[in-house]
Amino acid sequence: MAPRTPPPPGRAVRLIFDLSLGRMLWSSRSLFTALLAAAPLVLALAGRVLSTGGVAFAGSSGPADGLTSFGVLIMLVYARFVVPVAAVVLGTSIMADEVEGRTLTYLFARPVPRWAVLAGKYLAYLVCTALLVLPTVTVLYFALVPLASVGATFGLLLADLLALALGIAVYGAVFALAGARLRRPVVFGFLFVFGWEQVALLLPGTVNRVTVAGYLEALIPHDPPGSSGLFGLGQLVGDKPGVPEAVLCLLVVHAVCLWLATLAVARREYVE
Amino acid sequence: MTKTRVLLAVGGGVLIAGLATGLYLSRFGSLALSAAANMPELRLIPADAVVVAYADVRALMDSAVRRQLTPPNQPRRTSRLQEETGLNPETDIDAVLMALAPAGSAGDGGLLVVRGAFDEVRIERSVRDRGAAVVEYKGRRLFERASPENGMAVTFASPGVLVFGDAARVRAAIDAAEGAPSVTGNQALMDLVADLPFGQAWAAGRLDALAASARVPADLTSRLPAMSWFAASGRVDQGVEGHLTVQAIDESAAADLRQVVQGFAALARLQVRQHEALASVLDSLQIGGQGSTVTVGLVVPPAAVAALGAALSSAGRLPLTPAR
Repeated sequence: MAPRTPPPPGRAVRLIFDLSLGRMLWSSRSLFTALLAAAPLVLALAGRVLSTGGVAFAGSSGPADGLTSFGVLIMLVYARFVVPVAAVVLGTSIMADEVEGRTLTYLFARPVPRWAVLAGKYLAYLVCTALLVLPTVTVLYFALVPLASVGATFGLLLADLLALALGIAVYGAVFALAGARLRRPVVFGFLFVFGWEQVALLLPGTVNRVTVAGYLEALIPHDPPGSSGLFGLGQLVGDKPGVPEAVLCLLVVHAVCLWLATLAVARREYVE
Repeated sequence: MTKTRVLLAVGGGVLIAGLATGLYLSRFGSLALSAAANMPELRLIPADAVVVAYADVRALMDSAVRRQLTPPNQPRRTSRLQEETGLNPETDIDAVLMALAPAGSAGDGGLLVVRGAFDEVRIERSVRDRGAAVVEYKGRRLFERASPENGMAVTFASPGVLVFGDAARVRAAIDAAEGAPSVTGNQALMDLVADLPFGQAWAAGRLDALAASARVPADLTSRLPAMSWFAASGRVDQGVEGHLTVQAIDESAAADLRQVVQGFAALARLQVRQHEALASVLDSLQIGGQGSTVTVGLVVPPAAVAALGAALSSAGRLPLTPAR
């Protein structure tokens, strides 16, 4: 019997992508992410119905205008909560699920390079998470911003979508690395998102530059929602990076994390 | 894989449809969607108008707010206007559109376009009785009354649409009705109108042009930060909701303006803190905006309207419930 010829790299990545996307999309993790992403939309619609115009926020007794409500939800809910949590839930599963499910051996037994396994599964993560998060942001925008104002403010939605897509990619790379190297990547992920990042964003000076959230917020073109509370404190003391710096740093973090994750997958002996 | 493809198609479809809609609206503007910008009466406003304001009188008259503020069983007095023209402003007028011309232009007075149910014969007779001359202008009967300072005129642009104001502006309105450029071609002003949130009353225009004319006291304009455009709208139903957007000439002027508004709001809070209803109105005040834009939002809740209505009906003063 002739030995099986390994597929070309592009074909190998596509094979793993096709295999992983369906499994990832129909997993309980994706259902959780979908509910998480849709929750702000449901709350905003309910708030709009109740206040007939906008969403009322703490500290204000009246409804905010639609664009302000949308900006607050993007800054506080999507960038700070939905995207990082979705990345923890789905990003850490890129390799860890295969290890826990003891199916990694079957993947590695195929005639595809190990890096292609990671690349295909990472692409599946990107498509899956973007599919669950970005459409809800688009619907949220049209639900809150009056149609007559869409023409003047559509650029903000595009910038938000690009920033959130970059956030999904970078957080995914960070947690793919965690999934490839650590035994309990989900614990690390939640500690990183709700521990380190939250504290670092409140510290003065340039400590926020050691977070993904700090750069992500620099890309979101909405004003921070007031200067009260911990969020306002972070805005006050933190040195916000510029947009070019933020994009460059996020791309560097993305590339480095993916490269390290590839190395980890290629070199690590996964014992089942 | 079929289920996955369906999910991909739905998610991707929502995203693409949203982006396509946004791109279409940003490419062709919001004008196509704006009821205000598509109002036919706007075609009677000359292109050089610097301020346009509108009120849906019918909706305002029928609103719960108006019912609450009007004392019940109040005897209706027939006004002199009604006696002479048969026009009852409370029942016969549907909408009013007002425009101001730039200072220094021919006939820099205002122009009113009123839509409603008019007894045209009676109105024309009343105008003639007051000394107006009947002039034929582009096939329309124009009733002009000349005066040393400013001539006034009135005409019917079409059945149920009365145009009244400075004679030169009324003639310009007829020109616009006959195909001359109207304010609908004034892209900057129409963008402001199209971006207004829905409301039964709105106004938009150039503040600098308004201030340049003698209509705003120089003493006031010299003390305010420099502003260029404004747009305001009000929605009246059970309560009242108002939005004002002002475009300052730069970010510094906008910051100054926000502080001025905040200062006035603080002063007003001190004045009304004994009155729960008015205090709740001031608490709803939202001052915001980005860059050189200043936005102010205000909500008068139904409770505040009810308190005001009760006050008006009882003693003609404001015995609002003091805060406990």
